Amino acid sequence: MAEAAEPATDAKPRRLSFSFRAGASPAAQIAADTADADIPPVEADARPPASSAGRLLGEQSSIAPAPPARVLAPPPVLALPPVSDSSTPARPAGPALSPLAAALGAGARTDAPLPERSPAPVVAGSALMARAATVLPAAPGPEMTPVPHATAPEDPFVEAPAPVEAETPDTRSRRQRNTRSRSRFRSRAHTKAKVKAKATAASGTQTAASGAAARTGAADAGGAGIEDRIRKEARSAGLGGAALPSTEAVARRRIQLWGIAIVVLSMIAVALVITGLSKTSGDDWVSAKTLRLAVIGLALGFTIYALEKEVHLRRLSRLLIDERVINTALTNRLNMHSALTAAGKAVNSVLDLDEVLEVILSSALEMLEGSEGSVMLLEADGALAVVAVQGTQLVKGQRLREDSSLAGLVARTREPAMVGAGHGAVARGDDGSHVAMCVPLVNRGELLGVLDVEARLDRAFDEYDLHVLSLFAEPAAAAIANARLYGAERAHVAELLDLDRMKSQFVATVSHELRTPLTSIRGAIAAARRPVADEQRAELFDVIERQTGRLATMVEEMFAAAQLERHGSAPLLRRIELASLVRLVALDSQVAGRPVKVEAPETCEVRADPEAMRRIVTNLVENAHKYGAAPIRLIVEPDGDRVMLSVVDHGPGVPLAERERIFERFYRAEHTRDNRPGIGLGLPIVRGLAEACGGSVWVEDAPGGGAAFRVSLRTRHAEDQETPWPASPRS
Amino acid sequence: MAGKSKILIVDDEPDVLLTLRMILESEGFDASLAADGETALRRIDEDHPDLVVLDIMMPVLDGWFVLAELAGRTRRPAVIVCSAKSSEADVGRARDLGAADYVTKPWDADDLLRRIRESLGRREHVGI
Repeated sequence: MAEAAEPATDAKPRRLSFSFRAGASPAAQIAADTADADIPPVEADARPPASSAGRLLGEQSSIAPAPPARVLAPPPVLALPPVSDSSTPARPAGPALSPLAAALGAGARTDAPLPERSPAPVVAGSALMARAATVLPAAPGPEMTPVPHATAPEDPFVEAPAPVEAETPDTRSRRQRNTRSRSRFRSRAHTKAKVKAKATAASGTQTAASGAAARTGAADAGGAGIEDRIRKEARSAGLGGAALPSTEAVARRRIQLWGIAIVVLSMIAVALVITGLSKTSGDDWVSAKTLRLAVIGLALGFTIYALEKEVHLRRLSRLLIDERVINTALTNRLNMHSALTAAGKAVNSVLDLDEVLEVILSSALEMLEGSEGSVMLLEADGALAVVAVQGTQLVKGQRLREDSSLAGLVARTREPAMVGAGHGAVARGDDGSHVAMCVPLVNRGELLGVLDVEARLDRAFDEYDLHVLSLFAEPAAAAIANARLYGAERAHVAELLDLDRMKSQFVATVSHELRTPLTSIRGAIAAARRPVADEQRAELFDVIERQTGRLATMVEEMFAAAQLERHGSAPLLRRIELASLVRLVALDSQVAGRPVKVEAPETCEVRADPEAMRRIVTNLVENAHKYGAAPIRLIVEPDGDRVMLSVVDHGPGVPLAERERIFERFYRAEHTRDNRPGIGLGLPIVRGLAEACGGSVWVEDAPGGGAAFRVSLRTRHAEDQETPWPASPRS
Repeated sequence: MAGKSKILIVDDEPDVLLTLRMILESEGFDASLAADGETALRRIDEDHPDLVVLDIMMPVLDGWFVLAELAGRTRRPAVIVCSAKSSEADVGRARDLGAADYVTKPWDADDLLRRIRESLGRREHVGI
């Protein structure tokens, strides 16, 4: 780049000064560039990635790009190369696109060798880029305040352009790629504008309109807008008119000018020859010498006139190229924003996380013409889980742990990264037949995951693409965070609704369960008031006693369940003769008309709370009678340091899906809900008490059909606890 | 009313069966019992009761099944549904299945007896 830095002629060096503030837009930065007066150093306070204009200038004129944050830098000196004789004013904007593209691709790094080219188009174009800043207020990048610049120099030779760059194969391919990339964006933006909401197109129009207004405003304010300068130069070059001249008109004018010049100078040369050959006499009114001098003077005068016009024509053609370049740049920028806005809207239009992830991936692929890609989300253990995938060898749900992958690198560094041709192996461990870009998905400082976009080798990604993907990653990450929040809230609401439904069901169940004993009690009282025999009256009193006992048990169960729920349980563990206890419960059940067969050894001790144990066995036996079918067996089997208590029935059994749910409070199995009594507390109480005694409860299919409720209990315990059960409410 | 009216009490709760039978017998009815739907249908076929006091929530075959079964018969007893279920949907369903009346548990004995007599009266009036 050093070759461009030294002024090769006596050209006055252009001084550029610019001031960054955090958040300055690259375009505004370039505005400062039109100044060539000596402006004292200004404090540069810019984030490197945002200083695209700096990069632009750096690439263009070897000014060091990307000023570090908070540095007091001397204003970079831009030395311009001399006028190139090979300048072709009508040259299209091709060469100038490269630096502009670099300017737009803020944050990207370009390592390609710099072509020799004149900075002039870009310098002159800076004013328009300043307008671009006005046109695109939402342009990403730091906010920036351009330093007011002094009057532009009028020395045309210093600014003379050299639009034809010595195009090496490298620069050519790069230029072509950039041009292709830009046109891609244009076509994509147009397609999107058709497909996506009309709002996008409307906002685009609005932006363009406001851009035009801003352009006029900037021209008025600066007083040296490029159009004014074009008109001025056009007038000076003899191309005055209402409309701006075209580059073709300038070329024609130049041919015309030099054609006339050649004719005139040829005639003067002929005149000189004639005057030299002709004999002069003394009586001539003017001497031959004087005549020759006059002809030479005329030739000189005309030559000066022609050169002056040439200068103006050159400046005019350069300004026209600038205009075209800047318009292209603005169009590209607008298209990029349209595409990003459309993609941002798309990812925010859905709330379901899976859908959001799919939209993010498809939007990114569509925007960047990637052929395949994936979204990976960071998991709690630091692994990256593939959650959305298109085309790659990855599988949804796959977890990536290796840090050597591109995604791993990006997750670790939180910096966007890309691998070009031949490095695909780094990205995915494949044959290197792909190019890949990876950007981190960061929301509020938290790394959520990585977005990976890949393409085949015929679609070469550049830094500009990486920059666009990075910009897209921001709304994408926000959308993921929102979708997660929404998902969590939705699950919470579903849980609350489920709880509410269960409570309603509980109230219905309890009221129903209260009605049944109340019916018997009221009926018994009504019957007892009638003339009945004494033994019948005694029977009625038994009914009343049984049913009030049932009511009391129900109230007790509800209280016990509430106790277990609120305070857990601290039962009094001691040695219990389980075999005897089981036989007693079986006897009670027998007396109540519900026979139970006991299969137990003579003695079998466990460590448990006696009251809790009695309730466990009673509840399980009642449960078997209510929901199972006879015969019902109570089995006690010692098993090492544990004892297995089983209550086996021959009913329909418990469906697999309900085997855990039946131990939830208030839950009542689907098939028993409507035709069996019960309030859905018996089994939850059994589980709570068994666990409090250090045991566990579950249900399984009984051999030969039916349900087998198993309670595993300990035979020994570390220490007996003296705390009474149920525990008194803690203060 | 010619002779004693025969009433079948269907309920899975033994104490309800016991008390209701005493009440009905003390009022001069001939009461018989069933503890589930299957037994009830059998006894209806054997005894031909004039009226059935039918619970809904029962094991084996529930009251809805019994009602639906009776609804398809031309000669059938009057049915008073007597259930702890009290929603309007249940009342409507019972009516649709041809129940003569619907009493919610816990019933009042005098009210239940009045409804039983009304149903039997209607039945006699239409000459079934």
